[in-house]
Amino acid sequence: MNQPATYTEEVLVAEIKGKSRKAFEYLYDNYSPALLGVIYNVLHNEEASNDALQEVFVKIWNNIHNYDPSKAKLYTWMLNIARNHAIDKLRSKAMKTDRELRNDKNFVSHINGNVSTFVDGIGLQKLIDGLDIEQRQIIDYIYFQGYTQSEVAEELNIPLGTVKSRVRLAVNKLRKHF
Amino acid sequence: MDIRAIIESGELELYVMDRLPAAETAQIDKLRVAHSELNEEIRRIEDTLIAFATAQAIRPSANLKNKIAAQLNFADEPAQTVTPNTTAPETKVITMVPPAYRFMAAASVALIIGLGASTFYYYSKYNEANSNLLAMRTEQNVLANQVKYQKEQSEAMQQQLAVVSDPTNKAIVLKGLPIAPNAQAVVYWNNETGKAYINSTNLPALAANEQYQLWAIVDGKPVDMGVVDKDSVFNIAKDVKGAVAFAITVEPLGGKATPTLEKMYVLGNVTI
Repeated sequence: MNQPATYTEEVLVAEIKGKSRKAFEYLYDNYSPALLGVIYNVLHNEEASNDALQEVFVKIWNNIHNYDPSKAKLYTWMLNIARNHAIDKLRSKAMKTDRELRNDKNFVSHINGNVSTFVDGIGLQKLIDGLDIEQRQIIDYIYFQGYTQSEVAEELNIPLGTVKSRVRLAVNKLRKHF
Repeated sequence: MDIRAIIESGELELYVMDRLPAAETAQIDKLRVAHSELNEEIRRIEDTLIAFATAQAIRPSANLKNKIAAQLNFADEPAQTVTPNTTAPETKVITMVPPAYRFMAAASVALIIGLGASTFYYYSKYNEANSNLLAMRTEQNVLANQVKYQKEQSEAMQQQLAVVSDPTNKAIVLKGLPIAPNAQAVVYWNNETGKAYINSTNLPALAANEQYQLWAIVDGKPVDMGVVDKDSVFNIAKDVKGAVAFAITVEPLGGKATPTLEKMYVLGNVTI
C-alpha cells in the first residue's frame, strides 16, 4: 500500500461511479485483503476464494449505483457483498459436496487450529479466543455460513431472542478488542 | 418504540451483517433516521465488523488485480485520471483590502469563514487519518500473516531436514502395485523410537469419499498407522516397532480397522 493518496468514502464512491481506473486501483489495494479474508473464511478453499474475489469486484463495480450511504458505510456494503457471494457459492452444489466431505471443516473447528496452506488471519485467531463456545458457534452460523436467525434457532433448538442476544454478546466482545 | 430495547436485542448486529428479513431491515432503515442513538449504535457495530474483517485480511496473489481489471470497464485509461484528494480540500485564502472603517466587519467575516474552513479542513484530515489507520491495520495484519506463514514453512522444512538427515531413520520406498503402477510413497522410520513419517506426494487422486491409509506389517499382521492425505509431505504416522514392510491401501473416509487388500496401491519392504 504505497499509495499516498487517500480517498474519503464519499469521493471514492463518486470516482467508482465515474469508472475511474485509479479508483479501482485504490479500492483493490485497500480493500481486497479484507474482502478476500472474509471470503476465504467462508469457503476454506483458495481457488474458489480467488474466483469469488474477482466476481465480487465485478459486482461492486457494476452495482455501485445501488449503494446508499445513508444505510451503510461503503466498507460494510462491500463486505456484505463479498460475504453473501461467498455464502451463495458455499451453498452451490459443488462446494457443498466438497464441504460435507471435508467433515465440516468450518469456522468452529477451524478455530481449533487446523493448518491451511493458505494463510489464515492471526488477528482472527486472537479475536476468536476471546469468545466463548456459544458465541463462536453463533458467529460461525450467521456470519460465516449465512444462516438466518430462524434457521439457527431451529438448528440449536433455542428461542429466536436468544439467537439475537448471543449475536449481540459476540459482537460486543469483539468490539472490546478494537 | 423502545429504542434502547432494540439496541440491546441484537437486531442491529444482524442488520449490519445483512441477515435480517426484509421487513425488519426496512423498519430499522426508517427508525435510524429518526433516532440518532440508533444510528450511532449501527455505526459502531459497523466499525467493529470492519475491524473484524481486516483482522482476517489475506493479501491476494499478485496476478489477481490485473485479472479483475480486465473484466471492468473504465472511463479513463490507466495513467491519467481525476486525481484523488491527496490532501484535504484547499482552504481558501481570502484576500481583503477593505477600507479602514469596514475593517472590523470584514475581519469578523474572515474569521467566521476561516473557522468554517478550518473545521472542514480538520474534519477532512480526521477522516483521512481514520482511513489511513484502517489501511495500516490491514497492512499490519497482512504482514503478520505472511510472517506466520513463512515461519510455519521454515519450521516444517527444518523438521523435514532433521528427519531425512538422521542416520538412524530408514527411508523405505513404497512402490506402485499393478492396480496403481505409477504410485509411489516414502516412509521414513526409526525402529528404535518407532517414529514414522510419510511422504505421499506421488499418490494418484482419489474419489471424494475415499482416503489413503498407511499400514505396517508386524509379525505378519497389518497394523494401522493412520489415514494419510494425498500430497502431504512428512505426515506424522503412528509409532510402530518391528515393522518388516509398509503398505498403503485405499479406504473409505476415516480409514478402517483392517486393510482392504485388493485396494493396496503401494508396498515396500524394510531392508536390513
